[in-house]
Order: sequence, then C-alpha cells, then structure tokens
Amino acid sequence: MDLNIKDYIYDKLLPKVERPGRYIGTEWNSIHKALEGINIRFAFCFPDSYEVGMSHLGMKILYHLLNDQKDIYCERVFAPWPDMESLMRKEDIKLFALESRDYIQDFDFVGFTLQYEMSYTNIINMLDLAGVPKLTSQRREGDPFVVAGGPCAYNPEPLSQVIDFFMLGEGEEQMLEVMEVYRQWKVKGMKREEFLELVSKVRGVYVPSFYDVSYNEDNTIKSIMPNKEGVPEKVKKRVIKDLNKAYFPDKIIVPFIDVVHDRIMLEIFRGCTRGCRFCQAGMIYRPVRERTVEELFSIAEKLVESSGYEEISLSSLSTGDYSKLSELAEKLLSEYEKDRIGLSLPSLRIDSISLKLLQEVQKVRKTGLTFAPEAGSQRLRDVINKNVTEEDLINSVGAAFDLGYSNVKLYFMIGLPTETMEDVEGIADLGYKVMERYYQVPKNQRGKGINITISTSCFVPKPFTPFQWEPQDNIEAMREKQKHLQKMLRKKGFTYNWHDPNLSLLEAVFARGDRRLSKVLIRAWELGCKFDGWDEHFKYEAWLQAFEDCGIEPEFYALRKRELEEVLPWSHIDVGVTKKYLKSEYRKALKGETTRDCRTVCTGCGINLLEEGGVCK
Amino acid sequence: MINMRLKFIKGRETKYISHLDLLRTFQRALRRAHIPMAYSGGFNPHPEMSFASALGVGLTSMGEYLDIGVNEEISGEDVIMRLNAVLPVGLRVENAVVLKEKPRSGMALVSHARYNIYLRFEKDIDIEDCLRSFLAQDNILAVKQQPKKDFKTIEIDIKPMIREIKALSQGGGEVVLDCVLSSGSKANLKPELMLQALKKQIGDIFEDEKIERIDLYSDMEGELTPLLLIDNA
Repeated sequence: MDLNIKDYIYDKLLPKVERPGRYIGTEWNSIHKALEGINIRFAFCFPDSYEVGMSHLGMKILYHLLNDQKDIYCERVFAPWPDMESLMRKEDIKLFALESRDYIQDFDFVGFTLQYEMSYTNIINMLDLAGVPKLTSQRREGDPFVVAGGPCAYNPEPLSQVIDFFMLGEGEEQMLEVMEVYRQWKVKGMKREEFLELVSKVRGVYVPSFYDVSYNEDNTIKSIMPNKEGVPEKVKKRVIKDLNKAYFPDKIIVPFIDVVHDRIMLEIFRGCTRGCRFCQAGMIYRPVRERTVEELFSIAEKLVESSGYEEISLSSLSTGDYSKLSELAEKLLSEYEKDRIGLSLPSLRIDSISLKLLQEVQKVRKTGLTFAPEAGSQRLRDVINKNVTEEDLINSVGAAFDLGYSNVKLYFMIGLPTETMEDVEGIADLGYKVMERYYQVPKNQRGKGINITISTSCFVPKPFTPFQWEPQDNIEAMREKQKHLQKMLRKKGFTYNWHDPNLSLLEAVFARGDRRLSKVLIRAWELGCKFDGWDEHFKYEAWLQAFEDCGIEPEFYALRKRELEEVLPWSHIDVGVTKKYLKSEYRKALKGETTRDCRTVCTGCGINLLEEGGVCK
Repeated sequence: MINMRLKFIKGRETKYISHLDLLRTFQRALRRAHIPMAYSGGFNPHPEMSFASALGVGLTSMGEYLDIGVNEEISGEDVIMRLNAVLPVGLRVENAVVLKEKPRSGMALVSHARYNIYLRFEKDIDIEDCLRSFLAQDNILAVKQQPKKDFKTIEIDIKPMIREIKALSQGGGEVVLDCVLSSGSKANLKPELMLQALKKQIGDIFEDEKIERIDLYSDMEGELTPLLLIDNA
C-alpha cells in the first residue's frame, strides 16, 4: 500500500472524527512487526467499537498468542464508528488494521469474534469496507480466509454463507494448530478448497460449505449431512484440559482512551456449575476449571508490572464459586495494597460471606450492589433453576443495608417459560420487600437516599440450553408486562429500566437461526443496518423490511415452539452437554423441579465424556 | 513530599490523546517505572501530578510540563531513564528537575506559549508584509466559541494576547510562523484562533499543515522564562 495513504489517514482523516484515539494503534504493549520474515498476517476483528472490543479478554489472549509466533503478525481491527466509516467511503479508503494501517484485504486471515448476535451486520459491513467478498462462495484464490469463533459460533448457521470456517470452543491450542496447517498448505502452494479440507480435520473446526442442509415442507430442517468424505458428522468443541498450563499473555495492551473495562482481567476459572436453565454461558463453557492461586498470583504479578494498571478485576461467570476466593483476594490485597492497586469482584453472588469480603476489598467506596434473582416468584425461579430464595435475597440485601449501602440493583428477565402476570407482579413485590427491609434499619444507621434499580431484560431462548425448544414471548405480551411493572414501580426510591423487545426478537431469531438467515443479514445491511446493539443505530423497520424482502418470517425462528425431536440448526455441533441432559432439564423445568449445583453431585450433563479421560474434577 | 518538574515531548503518535487520557497514560507509565509517587489524602487518594497546560488535540509539542510529587528522593536522570523505558511511542521525557520546597505549580506559573505553525500557501506571498499589516491593526478581532455557554459565539480582541509573531522561513509557498501567545488561566489564545483572525485579514489562502508547541513560559517581571528553570531546588 502507498505509504502516503497511511499518512493521509493519520494526519488528515483522524482530525475530522470523533475520538481519533480509537484508530491510533500504538498503545502501550501493542505489537508492531517488520514485515520481513512474516509468513501469516492475521486481522483480528471485533465487530463493534474500539471501546467495547478492547474490553474483551479473549481478544487479548489470542492477540499475544499469535504474535508470540515469530512468523505471524496479528493486528487488531474494530468496526469504525459511523463518522469514520463515512469519511473512509467518501475518500475510498478501505478497512485497515490498526497497527500497520495496511488494508486487511491483503491479509491471510480475517478473523471475527462472535460475542453477541446483534453484531452480525457489522461483520458484513466490515467485509464490505475491507473490499473482501462478503460471501464464502464469492471468494477466490488469494482472498483472505474469513474465520470466526466465540460463543455465538456454537450456532454458526446464520453466518454460514459468510464465514469460511468456524473455530468452536477455546482457542488457545486450536488456533496454533490451524496456523500450522496453513503454513504447510502455503508452502505447497495448494488451492483454497484444499486448505478448507485440511483444516476441517483440526478438531473443533467447522467448514459450513462441507455440509448440506435439507428441509421439510413445513420449513423445519430435515437433515444436516457432510457432503465430503472425511468430514466429521459432528464437530466437537475444544476445551483446554488444564487451565494452569494454558497460554496466558504476560502483557496486555493499555488503551489511551477510556474503554468499557479498563483494568487487568484475571480469569480465575472457566465454566459454571450452577445449571441455570436460561443461561447459555453456563452450558457451553463447561466444564468448570480453576486456575490455582499460585498461577493467578504469578499472572497478576506479570500483568501489574507490564501494564501499570491500578485495578485487578477477577473474571469468571460466578466469582463466589471460586473455591479459594478469600485466600486469593487476601493474597492479592496484601501484596498490592501498598501499591494502591485495587481489586474488584464482579459477578459475585451477594450473601453475608461475600459481603464481608467486599467490605475488605472496597475499603472506602460504597458503590451499588447488584443482585440477580432473575424471576419474581419462587415458582418461576425453580423453573429456571435459579436457586435463590426470597429469604436469601432479603437477608443479603438486609446485610448490605445494615452496613450502610443504599443503592442496589436487581436484575430480572421477563418472558421466561411458563411466566404469568402473577410472576411479573412478583418482581415489583420483591422490590417493595427490599424497600421495606431498608426502612427496618434505624434511621441514624442506614445509608442515605435509598435507590432500588430494577432492570428487566427480555428472555431470549438460546441454543444448547434446556429452553432451546421454547418460544420467545411475543412483543405485545412483553410490552404489556413492562407497562404493568412501570405502573407498579412508580414510586420514590425506585428506578425501572427495561430492554427493547424489538431488539430481543432479533436476537432470538439469530440465536436459533439457520442458514437461510444469511441472506436476511445481507439484505438488512443493504438497507443500512449496522451497530444494531446501539440504540441510536438500531433500525427495526429496516430489519422487518429485510425479512419481508427475503420471504422469511422472523416469528418462525423466535416465536415457534420446537418439537423435542426436531432437527435443530446446530444439531451437528457438539458442545459436550448432551441433548438427553437438556431434554431432562427441560422436562424438570416445566414441572418446577430444581437441579443441584453439580459441584455437590454430578448431574450427568455429558461434558465429562467430551475428552478421553474426562475433564471434570 | 518532593516536587519534581518533567519536561516532555508529545509527538505525532500521541497528538490525538486528550488531556484526561494523557493523565491516565502518565499515571500508568509512572507505575510501570516504579516512580515512588506521593498520593493525595482524602477518601479517594490519587497520585500527585498535574500538567502545566492542556494541549489542544491534534497538536504536537516539544515542551510540555508535568509536575509530580514523590515521597522518596530520586534523581532527575533516574526519572528520565526509567520513564522513557516504559512510555508509549510518541511520548518522551526530555528533562526532569527537583524543585525547591513549596514550589509554584506549573499551572499557576504559565503565562505564554511558543508555537511553530507550518503553513502552506496557495501562491507565493510576502509573509513579512502580511504580518506587519496584521499586527498593525488597532484591534485584532476573532470569533470564539464558548463551550461552557452552549457554544455561543463571542467576538474578542486577541491583540493583547499576541506577544510576538515572526516568519521563520519561506519558500515554495511554505511558511513557518514562530509565535508567542498568551497561555494559562489569566489569558489564553489558541493558535487556531489566531490563524482564524489572520485568515480574515489576508484571505483564506493558506492551510495549516502542522502546529507544534515549542515551550511554555512564565512572565517573570517582563522576562519570559521557560518553566523548567523556575523554582528549581
């Protein structure tokens, strides 16, 4: 690429955009390599803004993992904010990688991480802006391979016409195996198709074009079959057996500008044993694997030294479930207190024990506490297997109020399976009981200015959960529930927030969508959809238009109850947790029966059979 | 607490970093460098550090100043060496001095700033002549936006805030203006505003290619003194 274009972008374009710091690329610990000796160029793309993407731990890990390889140069790419995009289009500038400012259309790999469904249009937009053909079928020899991974890759089908191959599961080992296959392929000067064949043999790699899908007359799927010899019938996700031996970078990029999570993220364990039935993360990230306190301490030490961050945040799905949490917290606190490095404990189930820990950790700040009962009645909490009782909640909130907290947030979902208006009213009732508990604290002892924030999101049934067969609640019903809660919570001391059901409908469509949705995605993009997760950019009408233009009904995907025997679009993907287990959990849910935390006794989800020798401890 | 003053370069790679982001960038670099920072008291202690002046986004500088407080003796050379090893490309500490007890802050001291402004003219012009007629006006009016008042505009006379403007070199339509403008809390003139007034006088016949701040000064009884030389121990 002409050197002058790079200078032009930097010196002439950036002064015209909002937050030019997004596009600089020379942050501390960013990797810049000379091109001599580079064999593979990898564009690691996060299909959202810089601020969101730079908060993502997975990207940090894989960026350094790849760059630790001498012959690989991995660079970052984020979705340019619309002001930057329109300038780029006007001046005919293609999507470039942050570090080198080279156009990514010349790279070997363009890799996307799929964190949420509503970022899919940004993928189409980024490919277009990059000048890379948007569809797999349009790509020719010399074009980059467009790949994807991340939690949404477990139902890869809506993107199957766009992505050449998916990498399922944890990437630390698999990514390097794929790179090795590529090296061999490149040396031999083979064809594009041949690389896809070779890479499909790497465990966890899914090449959608090697599978045929046939449909029944009622539009459900009849079968999903490999159309090539040697391609696995079921693609198994990858797991790292021992997290203590897994790669973890000893440095991380320190952004110049403020990003969403601007701190050291110390991943204490993967997976979750709670078994909440609505939670996809709880199923797909199994099994639970902890890092040892020693390993975590050693990672923390290196990251503190190399980043200069003033805060360490313990990262996991449920911090309180880490078996040596107090030991770890105490060790980190005593080591870093003198350096004034703070510790934060998100995703912590609040109870009297964890409160004590929080008190120690957050010595001065009495910021808000967050509780997630998820449903308003005990009956519904049993259905979703959220093993929290009203008594638990009131006790924990009460303990917090006794300590002087006066700002609490309560998270719920509406539209959960079997929900009635009574359950919805239970949300408000619970809010009032929490309020009541606050006023039981003597006036001179309680924190001032009670504020109870109640947020309700709209339930989206997800693949690989016991609710994967369930219909989503329709938009009118959800709006009615939201209005009802609005009325009930119109009182001083309460703040009520709710999610847009229109957006949740689209999430539901793409979460459980099939191959036929790729064209809807492209059409929506043509109609101007991008940054759908951002209120100010979300164009619901355009989306409805896109569905109509493609002759596809969103209701078929979002609102339809599936038969238990239906071939689901992701039935050729194996995440370890078995269909048998999901069915049994589904049946129990409908009967309101709970399932124990599998730390106490194995509940037979199937994950232990994924790898030879088992993976559960 | 021991006070130190650091003079640093903000180069091309960091010219888009805003004041607040630069503060955070230095906080983290100071940590990486293990500079024994002193902390403020109160509920939310923060490291003792302050810039003498905010630099506009998009401008580079050869002379920015950061005052820091440390609670252990450390030499200027040591600070320079340790910080430069851990600063991102585009930031470089040029000098660091220990200040006398209870020094005046850089922020309170600064009264003027020197800028080099690189201009490209559409055609050859007599820049000396232009500057003479520009400075000979009784009032030099410029329209300023007021961010704190809903961006309402106000016309002001900037002449009292221009201490000096001269052309450093000329040829092929390129001119470098070397100017000293008021800077700081009492009076502050951004170079961009001065250029706006110049355009009004001589026509929209140039583009500014680059604006670089050269140094910051304090008016010591009429004499402009670089901040680095004031209140040294």
